[in-house]
Amino acid sequence: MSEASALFDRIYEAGVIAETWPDVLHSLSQQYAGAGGVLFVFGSNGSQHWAASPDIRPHLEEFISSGQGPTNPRPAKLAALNYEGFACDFDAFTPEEIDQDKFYTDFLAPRGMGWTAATMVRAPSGDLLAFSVDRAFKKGPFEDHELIALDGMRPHLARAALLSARLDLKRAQAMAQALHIVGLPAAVLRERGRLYAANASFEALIPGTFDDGPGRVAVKDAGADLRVGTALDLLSGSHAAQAACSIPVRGTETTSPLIVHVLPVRGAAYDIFSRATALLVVTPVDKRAVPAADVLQGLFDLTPSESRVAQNIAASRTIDQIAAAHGVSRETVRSQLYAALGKIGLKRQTELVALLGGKAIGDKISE
Amino acid sequence: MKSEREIIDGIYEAALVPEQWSAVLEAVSRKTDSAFGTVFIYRDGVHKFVGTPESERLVSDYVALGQPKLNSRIDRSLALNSPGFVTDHDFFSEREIADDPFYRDFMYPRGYGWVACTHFPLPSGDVVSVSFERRKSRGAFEPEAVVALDAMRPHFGRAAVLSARLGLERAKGMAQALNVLGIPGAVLRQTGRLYVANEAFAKLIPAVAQDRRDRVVLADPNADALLEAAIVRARAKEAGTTVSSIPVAAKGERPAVIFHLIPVRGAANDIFSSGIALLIATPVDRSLVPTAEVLQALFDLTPAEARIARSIVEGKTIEVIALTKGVSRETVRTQVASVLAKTGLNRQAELVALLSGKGIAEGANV
Repeated sequence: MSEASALFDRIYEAGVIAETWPDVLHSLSQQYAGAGGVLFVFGSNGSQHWAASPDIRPHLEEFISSGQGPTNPRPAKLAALNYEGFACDFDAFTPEEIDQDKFYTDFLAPRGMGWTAATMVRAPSGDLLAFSVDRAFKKGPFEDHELIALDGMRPHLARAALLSARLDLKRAQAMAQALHIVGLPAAVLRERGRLYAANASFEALIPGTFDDGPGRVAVKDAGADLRVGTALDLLSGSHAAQAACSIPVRGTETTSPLIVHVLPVRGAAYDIFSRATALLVVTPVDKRAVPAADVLQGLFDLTPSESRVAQNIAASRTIDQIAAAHGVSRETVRSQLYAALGKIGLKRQTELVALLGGKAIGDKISE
Repeated sequence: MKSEREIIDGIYEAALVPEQWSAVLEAVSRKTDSAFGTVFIYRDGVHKFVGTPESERLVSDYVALGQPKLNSRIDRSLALNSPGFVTDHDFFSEREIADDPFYRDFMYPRGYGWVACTHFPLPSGDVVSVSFERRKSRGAFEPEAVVALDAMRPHFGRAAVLSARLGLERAKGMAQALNVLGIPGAVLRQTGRLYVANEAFAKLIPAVAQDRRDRVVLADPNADALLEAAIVRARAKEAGTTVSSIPVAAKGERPAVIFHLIPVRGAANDIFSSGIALLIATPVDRSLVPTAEVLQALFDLTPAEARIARSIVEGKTIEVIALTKGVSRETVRTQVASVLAKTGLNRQAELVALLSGKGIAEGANV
């Protein structure tokens, strides 16, 4: 297998296993006598993520963490070029601009760097992806034949990066689907509380209870929306774990009262395409299904009639109702109930309801 | 006609969006003057396929024949173990083709007869095959056509690997979502083998559940017999959307647990994802009750009413509440009545039923 083909394979592998991007960027950079390769993801909502080869990583971290000093003029220039290929410094700047720009003179020059070849790819999601290879000043600028060779890599790099992003969306959709399967309306939120993926049961709550606008997901109930907003603000900060909370939403004439849970999702730090930041899970405040009689029977060694009575009590039916429904006397039901309570280790009917209420996830399935 | 670049884009897209396979195979068929194209996957002894409409009609005819061994091309071409596309004359002599009932009795009467195919053995043990068929009148695939197909071969191969990875990422996403809610959950393969388990589920291993070679096993023999039957039902697709609930009685400090096995239906054209099921454990305990603040906000309760509602849901009696709060039983009774009125309920048991098991966040593992 040729060297180029092996690199292709690794590029596509990074599309699926995002933590291998730094290695792939390193190989790409090495092939062009570079000092480091970087993949930037500029989110349509202003977020920035990046992966870099180990050699250039410290410089990048320093540049970003210092937060002062010159701004990097390259991304804006590159975006303005709107060129579907790799561009070098002289495609974007005049030699005079390079001589005078503080980023070149005060940041790159002291580090021995000075030349780059870079390209941008617009993702269907609106995100902007940028690949760049930097090179030491003393090795001279990128030449045309090198840019042409890089252009040959570009479709593969672009496809792999788009695959990474798409795979992340599929993962988020699977998260929502799992919760749909257990009967919970849920949405996966991305940065700043925007809706990323929602399951069918959550979508059914739009627009009655929730609004899905261009900004963050909103709750119609103003009081609850304020609290959801506060929780979502915490997500983008360094105390994301503290965003976890349960917020009650009052019912209206047409909607039921429910509780919205904001649950931060711990993403993999290395995965620059990982967008899920929180789950929004809705638990309705209503009578939930209780376990089936045969399940109760298996759990507590009840007789079939004891488990039927226990199930009915857990579903908050009265002894009178149970007696009438099964054509037996109240005394029979009462003694079956006490036998069941004894076997389960409880004293009172309400304890039984508390123990069993809302435990039959499976029965809540909606397709 | 689509450009080569567009076709390759399409192959990678189809890896994640299986509905696109038909269009991609159609485009490659046009480029190679083929009648149709098909992607097969061979897994757990079963062939699944996706193809252009013409391909799907022919394969359906073939399946309807009920002679799965008739297609002699599969074994012959696999045996070549070639890292490229192979054609009829690579694995059959003229003589063999003339005598072969698959060509003579099935393909020729339908106007077909020339194939170019390639196989990808995956790390999982599955085999993916991509094949294109020409009409008999068009003539065999020329070397140039095979070269053109070989240029696309690595992309088909990567797409196959990618599809398998998609299944894994999906399973991880499902397990992770349940973990965020503190629900122990695992994704099982069709055979009942553990595919992905979340952290909460991992804590049940090995005391309650065990990850065995052939399938997940429950430590309790009675419960395990129920699980085995549930897996068999899920595999036979008898279960449909129904759920099997399997109780495991409390043991020592560990509360009783109910396992739920839920078959997950994939998209029909997603041939790469293996049949899966979710296995979820719900502990039977009383710790999940909404906080007083939540109750208060939901139903406009006073702080005192909210505290009493919570105590009732926790299973405390009016006497106990009166005693711990240092108020009379009558005061508590009045407050309970007012809580019931505000929540629109008649009985304490209804209040418990309404509110128990609602405190997901408190139980969450974030």
